Amino acid sequence: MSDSTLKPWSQVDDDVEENGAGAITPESGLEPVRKTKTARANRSFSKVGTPWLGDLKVTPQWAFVPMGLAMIWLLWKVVFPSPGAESLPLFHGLGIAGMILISAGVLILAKISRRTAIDKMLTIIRDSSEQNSDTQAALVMEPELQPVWQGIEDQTADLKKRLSELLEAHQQLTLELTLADSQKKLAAEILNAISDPVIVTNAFGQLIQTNSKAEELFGFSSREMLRKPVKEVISHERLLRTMQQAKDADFRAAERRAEHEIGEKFYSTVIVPLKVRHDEKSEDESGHGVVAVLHDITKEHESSKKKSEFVAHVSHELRTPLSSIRAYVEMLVDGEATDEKTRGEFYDIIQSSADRLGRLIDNMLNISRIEAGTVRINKEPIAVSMAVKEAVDMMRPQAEEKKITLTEHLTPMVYRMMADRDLIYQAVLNLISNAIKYTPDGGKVNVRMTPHEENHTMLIEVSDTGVGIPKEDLPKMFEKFFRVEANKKLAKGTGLGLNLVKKIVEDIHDGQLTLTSEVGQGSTFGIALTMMAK
Amino acid sequence: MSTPRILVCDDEPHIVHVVSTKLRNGGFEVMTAADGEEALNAAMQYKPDLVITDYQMPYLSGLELCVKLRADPETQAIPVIMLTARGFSLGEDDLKDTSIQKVLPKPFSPREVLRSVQAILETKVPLENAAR
Repeated sequence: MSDSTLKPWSQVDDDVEENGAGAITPESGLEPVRKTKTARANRSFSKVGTPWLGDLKVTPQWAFVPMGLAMIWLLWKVVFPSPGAESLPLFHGLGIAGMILISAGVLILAKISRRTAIDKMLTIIRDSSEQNSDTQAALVMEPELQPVWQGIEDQTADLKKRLSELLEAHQQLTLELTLADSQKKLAAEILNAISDPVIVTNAFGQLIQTNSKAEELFGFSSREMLRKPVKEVISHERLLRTMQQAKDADFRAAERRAEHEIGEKFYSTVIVPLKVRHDEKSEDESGHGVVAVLHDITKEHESSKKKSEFVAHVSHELRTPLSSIRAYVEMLVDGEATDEKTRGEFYDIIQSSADRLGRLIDNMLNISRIEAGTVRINKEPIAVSMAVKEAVDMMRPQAEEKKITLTEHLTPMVYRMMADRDLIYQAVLNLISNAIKYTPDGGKVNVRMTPHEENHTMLIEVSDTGVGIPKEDLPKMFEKFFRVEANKKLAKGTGLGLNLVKKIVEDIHDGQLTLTSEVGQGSTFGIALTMMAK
Repeated sequence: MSTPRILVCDDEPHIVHVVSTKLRNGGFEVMTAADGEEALNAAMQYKPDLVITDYQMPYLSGLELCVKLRADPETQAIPVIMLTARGFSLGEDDLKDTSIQKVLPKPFSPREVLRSVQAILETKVPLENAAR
């Protein structure tokens, strides 16, 4: 069979594979081939005939002529036998035999002629993939081949239809393949852009998709681990168990939410069942994979832990002065204070406890107001030394209680700045209060104001000879609820005081905070505020 | 019978003051401590008949103090009243290894403290006699 021109279907497909997407189209690939074949078919059909006789067509009917002659001759000789001859004379016998031989020759020639015609036609059909009116015309000239031609023609039409359908499908598939490929790349890029680790498994529990965050978290390379059982990829037992549960559960109820501690971080994990489109029908038998998305909630976790600690602290802090108030009131009611002096003492305690309660509530409210942006800020030109002096005086009784020397080095009133007097007072008060809290009995606390005229700033420093702050805790000192673990036992607190200072100084007054500390030596907290021109 | 001796321990001077005033007026002999360590030393030294302590204190918490008192044969029989703002956080397990007989939540009533002290000491005396 001639294969240089028309290839079998399988081979056509192979070529498409080799040539790549879109290489074969009816226009580009088949059309030229078809044209050359039609030309050749026409050429061949014009010469359909018997070998050695050129275009002369020999049909079996031609054999009737010599055969008829032979019969007539034989009959004639039987009716009118030659006189005196008992058998057929040699001349007539040879004549009749010759006629029979001629008719046999004609039949052979006709057979050959027919065979040649069929061969030619088959060649043409093989060579041609396209119906052509000339070809048809040539074949129509062979009336006995007409039904064969018709059948072939129908089949060819069918095959052509299938070919164009297949080509169309191929084109569609190629397009879809390209699209799927780019979509896959896009999906991978989107996954990588997600800041949460993502793990995707199939129904067999193999890792089929992941992102760089997951690689970082679990320390694997997706290149190496793709299609590996997810158990080999991640070693976190609880997470694997939750994923397994989601995989084993009924598809519709398989979503799982859980919190996992991985390394030093906390993750809120959402595990959603994954169903790829083609196995939607066989829902229950085929099983499903899962998509696990791990959201880092370490900060929320810490903040919620801090909040519960805060609630515990606050409740204690609130109850302590409240306890005093209630207890002393009850003592007065019960007449336990028998003399005026004791009664006066009780009244003082009730008053100072109520003040302490008020301060605590103020601190909390101020922070929440500043955070919510609802604090009423009343900035006006003030002499900061006045506010500082007031804070020092306020804290003096507490310092005396612990026999701490509280000294002050204030600037003249002439230094003024735009500030909220109450808030600055609160900030300085908190710093002095902390200094006294974390300085052992008999220590020293000094409040110093230093004007820096060159850059129009005023530095207010509160230094103590207290326990100091470990180096690693220095950056966290102004965080809400943070308390130095080692110093927690020294004093009660909510971890709010310094956070309020930060908010007052940095957020409200555009000032700066400074902090230096040495464990066992003491700490110096500083507030730098911009001064007004004198 | 000599005047029962009560050790009052709290890092809040006002609480110590009010409780000791109430107890003194109620006829008890009172000694005070400002933190857990001080209370432990005082208990070892003076063997009070009862200890009233706060839960949250610097250096040694009220609970740690109670465990230490319980662990020492000299002090293990001393009953304890715990004053606490965190009553909710004291479970059965916490109280197991201590001699805490009553937990009074803050804000507390001095009257109730006095009543509890009296009740515990009244039941304690016959028990001790029976043991002897």
